[in-house]
Amino acid sequence: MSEISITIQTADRSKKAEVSLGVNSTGEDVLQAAISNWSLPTDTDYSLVNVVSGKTIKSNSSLRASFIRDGDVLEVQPVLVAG
Amino acid sequence: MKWTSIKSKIATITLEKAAINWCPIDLDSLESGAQNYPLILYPDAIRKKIMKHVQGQNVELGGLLVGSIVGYGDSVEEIIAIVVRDAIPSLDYESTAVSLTMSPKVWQSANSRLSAEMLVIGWYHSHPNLGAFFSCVDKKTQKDFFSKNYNLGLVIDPVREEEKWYIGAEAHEIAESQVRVFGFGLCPD
Repeated sequence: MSEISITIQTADRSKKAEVSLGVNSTGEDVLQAAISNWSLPTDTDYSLVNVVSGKTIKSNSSLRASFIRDGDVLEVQPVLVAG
Repeated sequence: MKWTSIKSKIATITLEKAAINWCPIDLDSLESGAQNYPLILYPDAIRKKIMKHVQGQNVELGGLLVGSIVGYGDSVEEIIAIVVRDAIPSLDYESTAVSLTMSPKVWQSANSRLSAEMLVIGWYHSHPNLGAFFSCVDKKTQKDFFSKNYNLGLVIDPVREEEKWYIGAEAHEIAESQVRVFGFGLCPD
């Protein structure tokens, strides 16, 4: 299988998307697509996490190498800063 | 990549359902108390949990607030109250006396507490001996990641024993009278 369908959501779960993409897409590809499609702040660091397994997908790892499968839910989790 | 945004349903609950485990309270008076902004229903046990987390430290600490939205109907457009049901401390962080960076792991910690009616409703952090107020950095974080009309920001100064609540993208300050601290299953004298 060269393409999978997954759900991407923001960490507060207020935004969700069904996404079809190649298994060779990287975590960074997914993050950049989320930032672009949802106009998320660009001056923030994010983690991409498989909600079920709790594992973080490294930005330079492919979805295949991260064992992401059809139907998985990935969450875009921002670093929070306070002053 | 084919990207199809889907509607994300944020569930509300009724005041009666929210109050199931509370001591007898006048629900009508609670409902009428929600005027320009919703009431914040803040169990004393959660307040103590947060204070235990941030007290005795001279650096900023924080975490996420988990809870439920009490609405007139099933829409989050008209909210009566926001019930704080848990506080999830950030255990992986970098901080100084005047700054805090919480790693994304705090979101994963919160995930185990979430359900259709339990969601991340906001965040909290401390300002040890600085006073309770939202700084410019705090306002930006609120706007960037807690911008919904049910999103709370709580800042606590455990040294001066001050706390302030803010709500929504513009971080409007919530009047003290709008925050009701109470005990689950225990009635005040």
